[in-house]
Amino acid sequence: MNKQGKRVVLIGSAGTGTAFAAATALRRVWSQSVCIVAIDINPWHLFTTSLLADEYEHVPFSNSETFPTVLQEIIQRYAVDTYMPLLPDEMLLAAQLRDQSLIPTEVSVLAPPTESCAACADKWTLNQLLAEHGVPVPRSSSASDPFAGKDFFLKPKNGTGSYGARKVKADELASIVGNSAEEWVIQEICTGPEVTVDAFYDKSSNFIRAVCRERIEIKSGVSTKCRLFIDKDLCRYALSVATILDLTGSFCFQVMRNTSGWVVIDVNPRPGGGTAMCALVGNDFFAATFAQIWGEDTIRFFREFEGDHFVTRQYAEFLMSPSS
Amino acid sequence: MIAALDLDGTLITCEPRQSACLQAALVCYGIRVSTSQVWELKREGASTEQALVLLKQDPILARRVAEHWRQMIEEPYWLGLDSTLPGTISILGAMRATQAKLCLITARSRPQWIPQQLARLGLRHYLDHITVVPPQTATNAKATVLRESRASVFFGDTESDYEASVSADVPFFAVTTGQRSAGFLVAANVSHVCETLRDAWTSFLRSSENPSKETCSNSQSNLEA
Repeated sequence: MNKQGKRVVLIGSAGTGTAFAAATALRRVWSQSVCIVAIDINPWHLFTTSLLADEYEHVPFSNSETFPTVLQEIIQRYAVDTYMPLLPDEMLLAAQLRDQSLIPTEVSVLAPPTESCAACADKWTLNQLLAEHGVPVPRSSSASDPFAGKDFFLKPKNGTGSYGARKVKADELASIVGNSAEEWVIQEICTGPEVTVDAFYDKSSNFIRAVCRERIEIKSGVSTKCRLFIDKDLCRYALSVATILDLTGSFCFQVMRNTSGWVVIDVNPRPGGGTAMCALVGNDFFAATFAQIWGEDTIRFFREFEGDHFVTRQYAEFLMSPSS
Repeated sequence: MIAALDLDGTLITCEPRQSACLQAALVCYGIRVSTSQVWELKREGASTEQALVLLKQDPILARRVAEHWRQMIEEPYWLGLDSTLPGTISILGAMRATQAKLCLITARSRPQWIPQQLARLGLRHYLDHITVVPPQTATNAKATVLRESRASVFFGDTESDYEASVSADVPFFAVTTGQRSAGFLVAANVSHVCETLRDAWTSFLRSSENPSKETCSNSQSNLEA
């Protein structure tokens, strides 16, 4: 709590759609009873979350040497009690700083254990970990040691947001990855639909909630048309993923199909930008995440629904400086 | 029986959207003002512009900020900050269980977004009829709807709702979950001022059964809250 008796929430990578969705949920549910501190690599007038924030700070990249010191100073200056890192590098760093007690213990860091952050940031490690625990995954290998096949789906080992991911032919793989084959993962070609499962898990009550989003249209890695539905099998997958990676609160993962059924192709140990779509059918994963960390009722953020619901997204415009 | 209901502040929240939208407008102009203080003033009857001026902002700037706020406040993004007030769903269920027909009367500049919002909030299937009136003529337009629909009662949160009821000769029960405080509503001569819609509904049922029975505004617990 700060001097005004408000909870202080620090939102990292505030320029992302996920950060904007988190700030929106905070304002919708807790309105002005929370103080939002937004940090980003852009100045305030270039990230929309600043419109919802009480404070905003221009910070270096989370993988820069100076970022940890800047972060610690911001946490102290604003009396932050809840920190939501969002990008994989930032989440891993936050978990490490927490482990090293470089973030005060009274600050709730919305990141899973360091090992889980590391696993989710490394597609090869994640694939192996899930497979070891019986979660169906696509056949995969390092690009330096490809399995036999004609076509592969190639992904950067540490990629996010589908950047760099593409279908390649086996005979062009070597020329594409060049000397950095170890930095790439190849997977068998899966078939659609691509579904993102938004999930919330409360370990103490063993409560799991999962809403599936079939990505009907994707533009630049962002879902723009989705079909929302409930699937009991994928809910079971969600529980397995949460248990294996020791996830609590909201997270999401992507599935596609191979010959054996649904396979998990990626896991984010946090909600995604598209997770906000679920709020339109009464499932507010962002609000539930904050409610859980603050010991409040989480069930109220989940409303049952049946059948298919379609959600489309359009850009919204925000003026970031006064009109003349 | 037809029960007429206002939307903003009666069935759903109004403060989070208004405050966050104002905060965004203020950020644009590089101004820092406590939106909580603005809200307190608005609960006592001030407009957004008046509240900013009362909080020592330059009147010209206050007008610009208020205008910017007004342009944004009903955009879909900001409407997404509304949520149902605690207990709304259960009381609407209770109302329908008495065979009451529920008629929503709300003032909005952008009526096209109402169906979307009601669906998102899970309210649509509780409502038998929905009427959206323009904010500029809200009082008269709501009065007309109340009259034509032969409403038995109107639940709302503002003096404008009250005036519409008086004009239509329909009993009015105010809730203090929205735009106006209990003190403001009492000062505006509203007879039945209740903390919640549930209290207002209970009070209405009691007054229907026994017109001399005390109602919310006579109850100390409600007035002193």
